[in-house]
Amino acid sequence: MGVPVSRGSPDPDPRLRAPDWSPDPAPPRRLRLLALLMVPLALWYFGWLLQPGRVGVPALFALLVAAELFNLFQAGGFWWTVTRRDRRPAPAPLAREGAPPLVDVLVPTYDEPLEVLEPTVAAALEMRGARLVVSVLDDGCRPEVEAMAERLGARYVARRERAGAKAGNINSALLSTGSPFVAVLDCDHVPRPDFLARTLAPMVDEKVAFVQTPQYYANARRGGIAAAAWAQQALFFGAISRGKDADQAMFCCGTNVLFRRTALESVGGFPTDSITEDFVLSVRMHERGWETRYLPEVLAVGLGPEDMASYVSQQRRWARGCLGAIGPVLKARLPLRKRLHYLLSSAYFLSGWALLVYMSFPVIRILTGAQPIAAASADQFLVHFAPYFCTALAMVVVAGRGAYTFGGFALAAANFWVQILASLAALTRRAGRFVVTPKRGEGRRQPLAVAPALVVIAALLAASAWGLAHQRSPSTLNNVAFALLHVTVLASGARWALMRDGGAEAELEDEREARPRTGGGREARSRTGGGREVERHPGGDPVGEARR
Amino acid sequence: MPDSALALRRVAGNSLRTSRAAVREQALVAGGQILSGVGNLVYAAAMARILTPGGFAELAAFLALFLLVAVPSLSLAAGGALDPELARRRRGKVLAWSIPASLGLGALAVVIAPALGLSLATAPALATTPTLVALVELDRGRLYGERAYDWVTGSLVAEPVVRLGVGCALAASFGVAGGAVGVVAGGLAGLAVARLGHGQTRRRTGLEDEARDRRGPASKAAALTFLFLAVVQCQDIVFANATLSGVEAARFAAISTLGGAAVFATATIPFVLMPRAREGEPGALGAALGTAAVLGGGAVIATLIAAEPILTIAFGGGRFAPIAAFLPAYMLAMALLGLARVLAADAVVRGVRRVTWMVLGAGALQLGLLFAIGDSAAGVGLATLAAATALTAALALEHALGARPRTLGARRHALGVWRHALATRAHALGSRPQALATRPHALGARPQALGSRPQTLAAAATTEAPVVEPPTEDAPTADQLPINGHLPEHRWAPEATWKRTALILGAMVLAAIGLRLLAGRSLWLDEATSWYETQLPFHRMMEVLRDTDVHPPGYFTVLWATVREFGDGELALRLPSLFAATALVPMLYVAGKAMYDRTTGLVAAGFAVVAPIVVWYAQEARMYAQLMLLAVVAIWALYRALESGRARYWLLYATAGAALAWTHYFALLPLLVFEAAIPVIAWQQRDRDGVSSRRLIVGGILASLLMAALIAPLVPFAHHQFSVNQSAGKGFDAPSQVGGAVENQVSLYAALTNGTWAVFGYHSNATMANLTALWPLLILLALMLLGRGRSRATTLLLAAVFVPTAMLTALSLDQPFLFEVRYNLTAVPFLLLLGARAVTTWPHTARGRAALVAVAVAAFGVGLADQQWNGANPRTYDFEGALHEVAAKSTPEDVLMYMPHDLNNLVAYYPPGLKVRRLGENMPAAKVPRVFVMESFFEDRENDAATRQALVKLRGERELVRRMKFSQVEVWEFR
Repeated sequence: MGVPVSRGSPDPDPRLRAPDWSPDPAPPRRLRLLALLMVPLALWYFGWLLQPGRVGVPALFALLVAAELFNLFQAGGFWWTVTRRDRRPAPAPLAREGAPPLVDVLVPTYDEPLEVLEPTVAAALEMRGARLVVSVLDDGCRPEVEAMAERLGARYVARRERAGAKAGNINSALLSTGSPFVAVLDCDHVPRPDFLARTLAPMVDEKVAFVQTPQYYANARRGGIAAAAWAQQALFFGAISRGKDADQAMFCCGTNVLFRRTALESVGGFPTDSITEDFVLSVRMHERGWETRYLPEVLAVGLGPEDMASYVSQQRRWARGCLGAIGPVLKARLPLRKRLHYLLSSAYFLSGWALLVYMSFPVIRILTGAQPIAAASADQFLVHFAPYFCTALAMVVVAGRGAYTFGGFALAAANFWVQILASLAALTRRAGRFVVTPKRGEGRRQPLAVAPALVVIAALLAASAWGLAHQRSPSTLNNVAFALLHVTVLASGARWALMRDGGAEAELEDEREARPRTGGGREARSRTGGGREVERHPGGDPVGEARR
Repeated sequence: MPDSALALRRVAGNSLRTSRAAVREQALVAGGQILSGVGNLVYAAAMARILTPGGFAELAAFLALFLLVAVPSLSLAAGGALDPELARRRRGKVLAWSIPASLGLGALAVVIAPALGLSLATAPALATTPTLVALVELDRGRLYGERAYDWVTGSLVAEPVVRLGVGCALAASFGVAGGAVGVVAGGLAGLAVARLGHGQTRRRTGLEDEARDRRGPASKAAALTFLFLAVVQCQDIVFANATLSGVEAARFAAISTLGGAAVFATATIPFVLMPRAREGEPGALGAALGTAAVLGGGAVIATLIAAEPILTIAFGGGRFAPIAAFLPAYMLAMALLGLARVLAADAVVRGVRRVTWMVLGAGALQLGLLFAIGDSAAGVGLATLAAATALTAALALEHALGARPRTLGARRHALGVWRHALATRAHALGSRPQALATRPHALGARPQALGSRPQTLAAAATTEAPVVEPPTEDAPTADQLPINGHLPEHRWAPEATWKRTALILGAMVLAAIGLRLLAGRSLWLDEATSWYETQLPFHRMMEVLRDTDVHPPGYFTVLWATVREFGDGELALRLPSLFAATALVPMLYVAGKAMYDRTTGLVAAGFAVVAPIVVWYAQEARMYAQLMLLAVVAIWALYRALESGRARYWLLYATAGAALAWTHYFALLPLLVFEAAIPVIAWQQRDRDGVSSRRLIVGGILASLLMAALIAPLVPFAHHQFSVNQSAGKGFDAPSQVGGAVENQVSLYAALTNGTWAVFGYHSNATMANLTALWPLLILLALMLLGRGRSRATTLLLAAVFVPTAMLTALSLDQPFLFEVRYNLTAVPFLLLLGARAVTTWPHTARGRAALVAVAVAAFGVGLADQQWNGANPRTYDFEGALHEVAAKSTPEDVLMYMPHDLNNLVAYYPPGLKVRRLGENMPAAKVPRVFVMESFFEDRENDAATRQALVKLRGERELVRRMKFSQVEVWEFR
């Protein structure tokens, strides 16, 4: 696996290597068995929890139950989603007779470096299976981009007025193009030559509005934030997207997607009033009866966020956009199943509140003695909670085929505050701002990007120290252990912000060291395979229970 | 003899000579340091006699302040030892910092003197302290760096001599102020000798000058590292003084003072090491570690033998007796700190900057633990022990895994190795011109690898004698040779060093033996039963086993033979267990290496050295240590057999499996897992390369048949035992130990307790309640397992841990007394392997791995110390102490009555020298002068009630003289 060996040597573009992840489905029987098992276990736990005698301090109990029910909703949605199976026949390859279809390939860009953009444009021009026009939509109006496009043979499009951010840029380009199909590639996503050949096949069905493919992060190999972010992506573009596709509820993820122009035109193009234009676009298309498809093949290779500020910016945009879409989703004229999929995806971004509730409990218990549950021994709690929790984790492992990692979970947890701020902004209807996710790390420490997590860590540690200084009873130790659990998770997720290059460098070093020792065994390979949760919403927070 | 062999012999000879010289130097300076310490003690004793009690207390406070300033100043000595030239150049800077500090301290002393119990008369002496100690340590550091050890020793000795002479003379006339001036005069004398020594002896090499620029930062790192080490050494006493009650603080001050003496004795060792290590001289580190181990180990042994007398002599009175049992543990912490200082010095010299962070981390760990468990003198000491263990383990691991030739000397040595390898390669290529051409190219590339002085190193390369150095274990293989002049990025050195591995394993085995021997305890009930049975003729023993026992005869056969050979002393009785639990250390390495890699094997072996439960059963004349050893042998043989298909591994697996069954019946549970693994793995193998499924199946069937044949003779024996026990209404014997409030209850919490015992050993009920309350950390563990791969070895180990546990739990639902960790001890070594795998692969960086290993070892260390030395451990039965006490206080006419009746073998093993009888039998006649009543196993309410009844009766007839309490044993004396 090509990892640069010498720090001094120029870093080869990781997007030019073959992806080492395949979104193969998990064994369906195992998944269904686990899902079936989860039902009685969830009943066993909640039946115990919701007994009237269990109420400790009522307000805290209410918060706990709310958080637990939210997690159950998310987890249940996850189990339901991942056990869905698409029974439609696989799309047949395109017939070879006749002229290949016309496709406009749009590559929107704003300020990304040329070395990021150029391989994408070059690879787009190499795509087979269609007559294509590649347009570089440069909202940055940069002469060097124009020169590059000209040199490679692509069309260069620059707007005078940059209204509507990425959505406006694409809409503008739609006006100046006319092919029946439109492919959208983010400027960092290098398509494979067969991208169009593979995505055009499902378009034979005239009802299909778009075909979405996975967003694979090639820089996940470098470790650090990119790997953790990919861990989240892998679960979404693996089990979750397959499940959504089975219910024809897959939504557009903004890149690596092929649209039918008529479908786009039927909803007036990309909505410019949302910062998650792709999500809202999908809702509108589904409302109008269009179908969507997900093609579980890595057909384009991109770059994930490499530093914490980029990750936070990306998450903030998604959280604000998806939470803002809850209202429209509820109002939309959609079948219940599709509506539920959208709701699960949007509501995922409320997980930060649940985590905040769980993190506050040990602090409150240590400082005041108040606790949510009463009349329950630890043994009782464990007997009811442990089977539910362990099986939920097993479900994540099986559904994600081991791709979901602790790093992905910790990164999401350390950014709980992003979701809280986003939900507050959505509640107060404060407009979000489209910010391009930087494609290259800043290469410096970014403590401010995780400042809230650091504050919570400090609070948990201070409460623990105070508790230990005053009383070292088993109950205090139990709450200190809970506090340490949260501290470890938060610190694991936040640590990359305190390292240069988002931790990538350190992990590279590790990989270099590990290679001769491990001999590339199965365990060693799985560490670079990445894993995880949701890019856009995992349809559930399967491991949220752990955030108690 | 070939040239290479001659060269090898020459190198070995040089190495030996270097080692001897290094040991001599260490001994010389350490001798001076010890003399200095003795001089200080004599000075204190003299002052105690010359001054009034109040004056002596004031001088003691002054000395404490002096020491407080002096300990951090040792960091300057570290910097000087690494780079004497830099120390010379920085003298002015040190003065510039220390003089204001002196003035500040003097001014502060004037202000807060009353609060510190000092008079103003000592303020001038105090004001000179920072400057004086800074200069003394700086100049001594230079002497270390220049390897002028005789002058260092002179300086060390001169200080107490002058202090004693001048101090006594002045104290007699001027009281405390005179004594304080004597201290300053002693410091000045040390400084004067050190100054005189400069320039007298210089052995610097040419390359040393060239490296000076690069050593600047290293010297700073050394100074910082030793400063943090001083913090680790001192912060516990500061914490204890600030937070503990008066009595507890005084107790900790007592053990801290003695521990401080142990550290003081080893203080010079790293500084003597540094110059030699800087030159990359082989044997220097070994000599330093050896000296530190001898001095530190000596202190530990001395306190093990005579903790209470030492405390009494040093501090008088009996108020320190409660802490005496903990003194060896604290001494161990100090001894470890001594080793850590040596390893840290070596790491600093090698340019390992992270060592500073490691020491800082240990300090933070210690501080955290102080807050967590530092509510008593023992708690504070445990925190220090944990931090010292963690630090030493981390540094040792760093050394084992990270040592690479970074010093100039070592690089020069490595250069020779490279050249040899290149020459060998050229030879292999038939001395073709292009092969030779790579030689100057590679040599020319060395400067790039070595730093920024190409011309110097090129010169060094050309001026070196053109001998072909013999290949060493560290020599890279052809595929590890430089490519285009660049050193390969990965570490080649540790991979090929079987000698290094053997050395580490040897040290581990020695440490394991030492730990298992040091942490001894009295025999308990079951062991006495073992002793009784082995006293019988063999055939009679087998009959007794068949008719009355519940265990298979394998272990007892071994013990019977051991007793015939070595007698029936405690050590002889426990010899098979000691052997098995020690052999477990290298066996875990073998298994870890086969199933994972070398690092995992080493870490697992290291865990086995300190794992509390392993140490516990190494000291018990029962079959559990054998159970653990055989389980590892069996799983290793099975794994190798499944991997290679070779007959010898199948044979070994069958034999070890049968031996397991002959050792303990519950070993059949993991054997079932092993047997089930064979067809599963064979099935998985069907579509893969390597050994064919068919071959595995055939091998597995034959091995299983052989195992069954070996176990078959046991079946009638076991059947008879079972029938006899059932007809006697006993079933399987219920455990008679206690160990926690959850005893004999099948619950998740009880399972957690069992798991805690398996990992962290046996502790008091209060400690167990606290440890079990940490169960939320298991949630963290579960989360951290997300995304981890699962190898065949891991699956096999997990199954071997959890399937027997589940089966035993299921059995326990019907027979709750089976819910006992010792019946599932085969899981312990498997858990150690899994733990080793986790800590060596989960962290993404070497630093993280070292830290995690250190934390794990520290946790084991704390668990071990608490298990062995905490008298509240409910599994510790001090029958030996009780019976010896009875023997000491009785005459042959007296009578000892005991309860429960099962203690008969113990009473026979530790004969109290008087008549013994079971409680409940005839009460002694009135003419018997004294009656002793001994009771244990208080949780047996029936027996306890009978004892109380007898005691009431005796109280009516006799006078209760005293009641003596021992661990889980009580004795009443009547007359």
